[in-house]
Amino acid sequence: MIVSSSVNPASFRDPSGFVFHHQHRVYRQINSAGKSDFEQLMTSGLYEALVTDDLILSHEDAAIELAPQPDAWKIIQPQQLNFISHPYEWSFSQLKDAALLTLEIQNRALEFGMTLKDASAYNIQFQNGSPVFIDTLSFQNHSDGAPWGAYRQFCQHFLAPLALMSTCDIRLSRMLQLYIDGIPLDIASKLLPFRAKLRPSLAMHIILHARSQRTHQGAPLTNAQKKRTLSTRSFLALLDNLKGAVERLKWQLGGTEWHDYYDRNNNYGAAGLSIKDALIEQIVSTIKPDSVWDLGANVGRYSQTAAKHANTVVAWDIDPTCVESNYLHCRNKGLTRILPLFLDLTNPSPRLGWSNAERASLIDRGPVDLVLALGLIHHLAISNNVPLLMIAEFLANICRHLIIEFVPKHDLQVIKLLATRDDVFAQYHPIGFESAFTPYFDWTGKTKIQGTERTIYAMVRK
Amino acid sequence: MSYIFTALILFIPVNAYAYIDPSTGSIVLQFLIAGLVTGLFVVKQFWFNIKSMFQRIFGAKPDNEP
Repeated sequence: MIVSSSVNPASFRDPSGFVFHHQHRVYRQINSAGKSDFEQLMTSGLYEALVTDDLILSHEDAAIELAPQPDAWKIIQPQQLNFISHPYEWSFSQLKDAALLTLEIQNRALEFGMTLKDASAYNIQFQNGSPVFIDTLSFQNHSDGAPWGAYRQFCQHFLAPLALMSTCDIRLSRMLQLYIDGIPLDIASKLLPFRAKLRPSLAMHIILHARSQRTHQGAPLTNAQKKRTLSTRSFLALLDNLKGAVERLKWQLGGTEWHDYYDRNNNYGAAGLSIKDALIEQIVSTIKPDSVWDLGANVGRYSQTAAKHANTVVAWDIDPTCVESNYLHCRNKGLTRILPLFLDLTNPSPRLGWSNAERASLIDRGPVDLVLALGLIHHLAISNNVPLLMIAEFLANICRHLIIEFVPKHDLQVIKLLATRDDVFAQYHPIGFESAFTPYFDWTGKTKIQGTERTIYAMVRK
Repeated sequence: MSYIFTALILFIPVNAYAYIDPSTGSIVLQFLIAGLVTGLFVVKQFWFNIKSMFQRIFGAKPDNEP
């Protein structure tokens, strides 16, 4: 039987198996090399314990005939994810929750005689508002006395970026985009502020760790080192210490330009906001989208409106405070359909990794049913000088339906943007906007928001 | 004590251009750190067990295990 499948370009490192796509569904091939560990995972009780507590994606057996490559022992179909996000798009608390989940799973694995062979942040995704472990083949038998092979990776993927975000600058999470196997510990050591270096946990797991790496660089383990064993109690102590190190890292919200936008200065007033809310809800309920991207979502006001009628809403924003605040709000209120993520639209997540294919770009992960672009266009057209026609072309690339707000030059926000620069935006007016979008979209509605200078358009891609 | 230990390792710059497998250093260090923190963990567990016992006696909900 010939089946048409494509191997996931990020799934090539593990000889135990790989992820592939078939008819828009995700499957995993388990090779003979992964049989023993997978059987232990399934029969030891670990899988059941982790699934019961929603810590790992569940899966079902699938037909072996689907195997796209030889040496297949089993095919499974994991529960399908709504969206794949990358660690460099996560807020501080999202990365922290992912770190704590990894440690919890390693802890539970030890109870069942297993261990994680890697501790990559890419093994975690956010599904229904919570982090979940997705890599069934990361589990292997734990030999008594063996150290944790994933310790270095845990420090690089989680502890170092969290420490830098917490104690140095929140924007250093972007380093995870440059270093996709985690932040090198020698660089993290140099960037940590003096006070952070005084914390024993960071001094041990980052600074001394980097020093030990340098000392033993290129040297294999000596026979004496190979004979050393790590008791289960010491293993648990190490995990407990890492957990404490992660839990003690905090980041205080506040102080950025946008996090209190709606409370402080929103150009609408309460009446205008209510009208806008009602209008957005009415349009979204007509479209009934499965997937929505809210670009420039701020703290997610309209993401929440859209989520009433959509399965998944990704709330993208450039302000780390807004993303963090939105995530904490959704987590506390149980808003499971909304996934807040960081995005600089002027420089969106690119294709990364081996062969420029391991990590999908923003555009690769579209198109979605609906994009919300509210209070956004002036930032792209005026702050970043993107011609309106190019904005329309980009949006047509990533969505089928579009709700977009035009913010004219006499709006207070645009007046601010133009206050200190020459107005070189001759085409930036309602007619210029409409003629730029006409080649790509048909309009289904146009409403001026009462009491404001702004107009909301509902469009559908041609 | 731990602050003296911390201070000692702070003032020496570190460069690890680790193009060749750096895991040896991580494994060696892991044994060292595990050795340092195990005693603390045992004490923590001991107090947890004592606290849980009293919580059970007085009908309070026990904390999560450390």
